[in-house]
Amino acid sequence: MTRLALLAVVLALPGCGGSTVMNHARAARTVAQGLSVVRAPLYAAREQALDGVEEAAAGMPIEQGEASIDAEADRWAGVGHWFDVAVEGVRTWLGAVQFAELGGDDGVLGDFARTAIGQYNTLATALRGMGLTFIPPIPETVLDFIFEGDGDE
Amino acid sequence: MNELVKALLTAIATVAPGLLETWFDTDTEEEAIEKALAAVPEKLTPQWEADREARKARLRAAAGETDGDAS
Repeated sequence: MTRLALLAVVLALPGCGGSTVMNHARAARTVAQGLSVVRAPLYAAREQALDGVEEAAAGMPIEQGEASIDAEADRWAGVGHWFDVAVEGVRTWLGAVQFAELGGDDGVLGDFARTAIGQYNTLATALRGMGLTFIPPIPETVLDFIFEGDGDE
Repeated sequence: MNELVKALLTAIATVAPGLLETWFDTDTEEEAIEKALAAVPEKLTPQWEADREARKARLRAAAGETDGDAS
């Protein structure tokens, strides 16, 4: 109820409540900003973990040292993969938004948005699985903007 | 400022962080898309794979130096 009230207020403000293309561009930007917020601490967390492993590996036989670096890098590869999938999802979504802005079908934008947001949430789950909780949730109001009238959100 | 307006703005900012910045722009559609594209970060995996190989190379180089010292 509060979300709906806020949505109504925001839609009534100047510059808000724009076209489908505008709402999707703004929503995609919010998701992209969420990914940008995550990137630096995620990069730093992996860097710190691998620095420790590399330091310890310096005293090991070469094969064992390389294997320990590979093992730690592999441990981070999953979240790296989901991060990249989420990045690609936003790019694809924005490609569809660009196409719609040029006169293409904007009726498909909701599908691209759902896919990208699903990938973002998958990344959030993967991060939490590693004990990392610094990914911001996508504001519910953003979802209201882009799925308004869909009836299934 | 009216207390109600303050409370409302606080609620919007709390419920939807980022909205104030993103949704209150008065861009054209093209500008909004450009800003969104500019906000998309680079992928991680290419950098991480290069970093993995660099670390292993450093390890091999250090081992080579140690071997060299010993011989």
